[in-house]
Amino acid sequence: MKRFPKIVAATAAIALTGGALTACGSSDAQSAGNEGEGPTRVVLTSHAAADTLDELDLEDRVVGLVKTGVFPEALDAYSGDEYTDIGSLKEPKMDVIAELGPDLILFGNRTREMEPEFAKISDQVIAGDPDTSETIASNRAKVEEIAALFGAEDKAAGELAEIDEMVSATKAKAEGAGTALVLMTSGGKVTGYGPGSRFDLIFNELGMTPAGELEAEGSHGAPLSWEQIAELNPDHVFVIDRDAAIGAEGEAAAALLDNPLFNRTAAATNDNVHFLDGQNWYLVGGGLGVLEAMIDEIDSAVS
Amino acid sequence: MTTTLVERRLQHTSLWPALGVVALVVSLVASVFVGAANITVWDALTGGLTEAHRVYLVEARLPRTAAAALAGASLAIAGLLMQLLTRNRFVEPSTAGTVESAGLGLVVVAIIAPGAPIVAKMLVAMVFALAGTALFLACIRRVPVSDSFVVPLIGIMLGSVVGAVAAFLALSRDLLQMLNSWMLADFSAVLAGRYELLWLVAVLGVLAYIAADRFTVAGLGEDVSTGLGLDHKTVVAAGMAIVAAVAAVVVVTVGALPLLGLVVPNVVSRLVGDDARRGLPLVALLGAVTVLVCDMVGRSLPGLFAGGAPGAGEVPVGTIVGILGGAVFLAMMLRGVRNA
Repeated sequence: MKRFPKIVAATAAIALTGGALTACGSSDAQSAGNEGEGPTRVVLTSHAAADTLDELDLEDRVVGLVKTGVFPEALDAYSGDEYTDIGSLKEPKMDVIAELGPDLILFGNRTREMEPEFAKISDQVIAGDPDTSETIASNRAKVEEIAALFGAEDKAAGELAEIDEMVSATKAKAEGAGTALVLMTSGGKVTGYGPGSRFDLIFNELGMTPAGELEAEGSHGAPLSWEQIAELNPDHVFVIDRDAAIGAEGEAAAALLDNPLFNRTAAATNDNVHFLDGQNWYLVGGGLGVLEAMIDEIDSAVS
Repeated sequence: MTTTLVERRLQHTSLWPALGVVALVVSLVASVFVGAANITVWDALTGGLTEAHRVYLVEARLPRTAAAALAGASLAIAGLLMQLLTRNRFVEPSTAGTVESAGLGLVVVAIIAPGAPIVAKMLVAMVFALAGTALFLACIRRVPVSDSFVVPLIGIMLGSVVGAVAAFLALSRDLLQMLNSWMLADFSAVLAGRYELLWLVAVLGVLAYIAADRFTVAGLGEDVSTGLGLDHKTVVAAGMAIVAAVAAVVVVTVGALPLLGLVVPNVVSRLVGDDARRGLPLVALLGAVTVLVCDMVGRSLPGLFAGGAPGAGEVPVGTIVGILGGAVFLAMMLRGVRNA
């Protein structure tokens, strides 16, 4: 019951902004973000939301985001010094954020627990990452929510329609493409992901058939032995090289996979081992532009 | 606690080594034939193996079995050496800061020279493990030995401090997952060509056996052993070097097996007493058997729940060994240990 007033306040805030937007909706339809509509000092710990703002030409509203650690290429628009580095994905620096005086904080899944602390710094605090159990639907919801704050609904709607088209096209190809397994390599070890995992997108939303039932829980997948992978014998293997994605030097995924057991799989013999963009899949995981790129990777793999 | 008649009788049984060898052979064979694919002994003997099964056996199961046996045997020996040299039954590489120090060394290499070859990484881990163990020895020399439980507690605290430093460094460089994989053994990635460093520890085990009598004498304490004409300091240093080397090699290649070095020597000393020359081969045998069995459990447990599906994954062997070791450690603490 203690949370109730907060929810009311949040709903009211959204309703108010929404009301304000419809009031002058005609003017900001021409060029999103130029009218001074919505928050002007945005701080992000969500890479997906940063990508969405960039795609909506709203990057000038951002004052600070996560740059410590590996900074994804997809967020190149923010490389300039005018965008303050607020720390790392898991450990943002609260003092730096507070100093920026944000009027909106979009937080990522990795800083979910810090929401109450963000709320002390900024009036408006919103989750920015899509939910990995239904990436496409929740990405759409996130994009629409963010776009509405700035009156950029029209531009967002156009791009979202594009994503929907891509999804149905990819799905049609994926359905006849055989079984698939997602592997992540890190520190010389390999873990497998199936439906229900953080890479559920590939299976339930883009329609690839899972190569076997994999333990869904845990964000780092099921530890698989090479023999188990050989027995699962997937037709397609999607590889995410975690070490490369986070900039740590490790045995390259390709070298790790090149062993007599993995080489027996249908995926390896038919040249259907696809190395995904680790930054997009592991670090960003969504956003208007990056999700498009992710779907595109799967599409070209099954084409 | 005094030695009971039954125990004294058991100590004089010469059957233990034979039993140990039989147990080892059985678990070696079992380990080779437990896995995701159903390969039977019969197929192997009659040449009815498919090409896939032959690849599984040669490239994965035999190396994995060897890795488990070598890691288990060597860590158990390392535990025995530490217990002899510190004269305390609760000391082993994971209760003396040795393992954590090796992990810290690996994190430091990963930051300074990430591209370094594995042998170089191992050497750095070894130097750190040695330094950590020396620090532990220096600490316990300053504590009156009135209570034997205090010694491993100091070691565990030291290990926590070193581990915290390693975790801090790892966290700042996004290496935490790598550190975790070093701190918990997992044989699922073992393949031919990726574990062979472990044969090094077999050499160390032989060295330990050759010097076994000296370690037994050193275990009598500095005054007694010096009186008996032993260069106490050199023997202790040599023993600790073996321990550090074993810990470093195992952590680098497969990951740590917590408390194994504590449980196995204590069980063996109950069976045959405290003579290192008699105990050492048994400690090695039982260490190997324990890890082989724990690995087989970890390999098949998720599959049993998932109806034998190959996608069920595995439970890391380090987890199983840790649970077993923790239970035995606790039981020993509660019951008190004779001669402790």
